[in-house]
Amino acid sequence: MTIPSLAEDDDRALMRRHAGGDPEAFGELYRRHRDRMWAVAVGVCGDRELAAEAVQDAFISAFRRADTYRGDAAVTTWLHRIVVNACIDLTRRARPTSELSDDVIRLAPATPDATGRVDTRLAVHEALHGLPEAQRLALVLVDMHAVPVAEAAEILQVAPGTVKSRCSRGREAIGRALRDAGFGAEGTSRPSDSSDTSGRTNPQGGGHD
Amino acid sequence: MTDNQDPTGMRHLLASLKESGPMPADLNDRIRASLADEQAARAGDAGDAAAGDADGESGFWGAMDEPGPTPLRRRRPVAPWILGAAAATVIALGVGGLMLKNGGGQEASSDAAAQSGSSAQPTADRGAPADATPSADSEVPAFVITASGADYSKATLADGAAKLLDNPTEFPDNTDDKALGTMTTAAGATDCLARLGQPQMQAVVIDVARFDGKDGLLLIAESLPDGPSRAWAVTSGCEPIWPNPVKVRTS
Repeated sequence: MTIPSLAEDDDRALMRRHAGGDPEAFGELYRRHRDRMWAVAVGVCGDRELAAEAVQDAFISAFRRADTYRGDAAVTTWLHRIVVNACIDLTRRARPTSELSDDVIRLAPATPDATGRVDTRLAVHEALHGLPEAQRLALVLVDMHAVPVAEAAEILQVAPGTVKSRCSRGREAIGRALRDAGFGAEGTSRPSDSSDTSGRTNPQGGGHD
Repeated sequence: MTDNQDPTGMRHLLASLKESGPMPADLNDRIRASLADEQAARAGDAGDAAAGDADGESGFWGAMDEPGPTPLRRRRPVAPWILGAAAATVIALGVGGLMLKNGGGQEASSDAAAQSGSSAQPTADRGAPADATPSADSEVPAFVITASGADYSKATLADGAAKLLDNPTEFPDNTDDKALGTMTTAAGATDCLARLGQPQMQAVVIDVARFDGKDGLLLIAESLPDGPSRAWAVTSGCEPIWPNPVKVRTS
């Protein structure tokens, strides 16, 4: 039975098996990581259609380029890097400026104050995707997906200090954008504010790291 | 979570935007088909493999076709102890995030499934809306959190983990949520397991302890339903304290 041994293999072993011609190993890797990679792609792309295209491109690329995986980083780090790069490529080509999508509204929790939360989420989403790309990527990985700074640095191929700096600048910029849009420090809207947050934030968080 | 400080409070807001559903079924099908084509091309047998994939029977996907809904309850006798202790822990600590969905078929929650990419995603649910939420009365605890206060060494880790797994109620409940870092929720634990290269495993017990004098967490996970159990020594941010997990014997 090969199935149990595949399930028990760690990611590196599966990569070795795939590179060595095992026809089932990559399927197991895909099964393990598809949902996380999808979630990261949605966060990085900010658009589910682009994310779908990106994650598909990424897994095909990973399949083909398995021999370039040297084992220096974790397989998940390597996969994250491929997904992030696929998102960057597609986003730059398809959508130079960020737009709000209905997906943000769909994801809002159904609670008594759902309207306020949707407002907040729209504003944060908009502010995030108005950031310079480098800051946005750092925040998506570190804050949105709880990737450790060191691993995010590996994914983005920059120094850990750069990731921290980008996160810090990005958070400050989003905070400013939320305040400008009439939200409090914790993202709660003020009573007098309109729920229309579209087109009102411009959280450019500095042009350099 | 991370060693980066966040005086702005933005991290919490950004975390709330995280995609929480599993990969959409149509996208999953599309990628599977593409990868099957890749595999067929690689094997020089495009026609047969692609045709086989259409039925979900090809060798390529044979290893990854999801089994049915994963039973959350363990078959081993330890299961009632673990679930009971987890219930007590949840009540005592009020950690709502520790819940996993048990929607009749005992599926894992959509959030956990989203993070794990594991067999916890029921085949029958693929067409269901990704944002479906479990009802409050359909939840069962996912794992136990203890605070043994033990100071493990590499030599004692496996035995200590085995004792915890056998009977976690013998050990004190954890009362310090801060010590848990990201592990206060099933999603956090599953995220950690994914980073450790084992996203298909599920956390069973987390013990707040020390490791050669260093504060950390003993994370015990198993491959359901009856797969092997392993234990890791990690920091509250899921950084491995020791590089390799140990196998945990089960009774």
